[in-house]
Amino acid sequence: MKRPNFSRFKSSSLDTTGAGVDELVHTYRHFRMRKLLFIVVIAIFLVILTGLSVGMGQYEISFHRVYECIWNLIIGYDDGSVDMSVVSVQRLPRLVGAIVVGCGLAAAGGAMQSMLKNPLADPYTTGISSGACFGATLAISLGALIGLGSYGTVVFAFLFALIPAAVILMLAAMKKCSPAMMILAGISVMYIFNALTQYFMLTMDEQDMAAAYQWTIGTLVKVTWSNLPIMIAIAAIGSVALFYMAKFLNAMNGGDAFAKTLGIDVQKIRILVLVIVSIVAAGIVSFTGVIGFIGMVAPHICRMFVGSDNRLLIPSAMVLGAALTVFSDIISRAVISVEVPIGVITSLIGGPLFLFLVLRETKEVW
Amino acid sequence: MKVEIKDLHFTYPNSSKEILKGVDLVIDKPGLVCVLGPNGVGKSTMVYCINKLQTATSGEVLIDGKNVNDISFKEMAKFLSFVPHNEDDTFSMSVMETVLLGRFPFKGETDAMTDMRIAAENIKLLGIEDLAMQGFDNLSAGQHQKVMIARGLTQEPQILICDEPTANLDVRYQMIVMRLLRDLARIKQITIIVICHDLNVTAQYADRVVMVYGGKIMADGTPEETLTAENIKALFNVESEISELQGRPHIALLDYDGLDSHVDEILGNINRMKEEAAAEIAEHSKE
Repeated sequence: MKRPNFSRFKSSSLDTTGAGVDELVHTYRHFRMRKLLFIVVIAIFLVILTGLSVGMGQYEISFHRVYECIWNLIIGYDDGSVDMSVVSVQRLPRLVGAIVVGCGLAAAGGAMQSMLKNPLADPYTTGISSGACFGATLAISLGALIGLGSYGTVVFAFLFALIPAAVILMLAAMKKCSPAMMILAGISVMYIFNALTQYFMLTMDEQDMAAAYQWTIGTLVKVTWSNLPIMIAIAAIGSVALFYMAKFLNAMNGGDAFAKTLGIDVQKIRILVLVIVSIVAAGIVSFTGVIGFIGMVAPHICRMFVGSDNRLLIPSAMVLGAALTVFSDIISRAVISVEVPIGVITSLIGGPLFLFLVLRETKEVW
Repeated sequence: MKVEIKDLHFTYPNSSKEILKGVDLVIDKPGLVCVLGPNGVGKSTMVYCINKLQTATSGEVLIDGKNVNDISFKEMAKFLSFVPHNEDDTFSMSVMETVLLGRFPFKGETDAMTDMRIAAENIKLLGIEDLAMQGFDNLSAGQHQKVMIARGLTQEPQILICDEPTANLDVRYQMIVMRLLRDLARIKQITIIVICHDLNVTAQYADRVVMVYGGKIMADGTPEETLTAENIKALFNVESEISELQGRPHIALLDYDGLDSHVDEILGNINRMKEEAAAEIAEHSKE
């Protein structure tokens, strides 16, 4: 039998010439630019949706006139027209509310999915929505007793939405805070809150029960100029903080041990992301009720186009989340004469759309 | 860089069993160092005490004379990198983005262009430039290892620790990865410490072999010095015949009576437990 020539295996196969490095860097920069282009396209889509959203209603305003009115508002010029008044007082708070809700929930959802390494995660995974629902139900049940007037529901919803995060923080002090532990703790808290909510609803009168039920279905009707600054502040600060955490989340994608050897305190980052996501989601949910699906579906759609680098994923999910929320709001007002709560629409549109994308995708998770 | 392990002891919290019982080891020359030993013997624990993923119960690990406990992870990441056994690819990034993570310890110190050039150089070095813009999860197990090694090299380390880089790879890719590591150690003049299981791949490519058994270093030296039939019998409790192939030891593992004696024992225990459980169920059903 002829013996193979083994001598060729002795030399190194490594390319140490450095040739082609510039070309590779150039290709990568081009690759990144294409991903940034996706964000620009979605942003343009959002601007178009703005015109449609603000223009539609019982008092119709033309597409072109909407942008004129918004521009006038930005530069501080009031032409005294009815259009200006309708845009600034009625339509714009709702539009800005939709954008804030979409941006905040999508950024929080993207960060939560990356942090928990779980495609099913959304801003409410750790039990935030059930906490908020219980808080709101409790506030409605106690009514005037809590002495916070119309803000009682918002304050209670916000505070109780943060309780699951507080429980996880306490557990983390006793035990290693793994993604599975965070999800399981969140589910446990969710069951407790759901049971308490149902108990309080049973003890309520019909009017309070209807109010509590309505609160659980997300709507933008309650968004006004008076509560928008708080929502904007929470969503903006939270989103910037999550964007800052993106590079840590990227490194944690390589596994806890790898991230630790890079000098990352994995436990600390995980807790920090949980706290930020909880505050953002609680801040939004306490004003609007539970608006589902945006926080889960927007990051997934973005992953198909920009990949899983959180430095691109989080901003793109924010823009897409805003566009999806504004689009859902348009549909909620356009389909039938009675306004359908946006929480219903986001799930009705998001569900089939997401299913279609999942079926189209060849990979298990993108 | 010189790595010194002095009288290292290790016991897991809430366990009375001491895993490492006074390990002494000095690695002071660049090259490919393979750590061999049966499962659960503490070879990973010993190596993890070097990069601080585990903390020794007693004893010390010094890198260039400095105790690792006095070196922060961030500081250490600038001269020591770690290639994990496998990587969760739930949400995987592109190969280039994955390799660029190796520049994380240098953020704020080097500009983005420099980082990209270093990552690209290592991608080219490992010959995976065609995969650079592909998703990590689209790659084969062997390509995964190459990407993770490229990421480790992008940290520009003096010491590279690889945890079972040949696990789950077919024979050809085991050889490709080990040869790659040997060549990298020589070209870059760095120390590469590899935890591995395959005796022949180790014999073929290792510059030095460290055998861990019974919580101590059982043998330490060149493949010719360490990979003997006696050491293999002592380490894995298997018989072997050693010959020479391409100037390196070649190990032929032998089948023999008594090889599966412990397997018989385990199967016997399982059967006994099954019988006991069945008897108990039968008794309960009678009641």
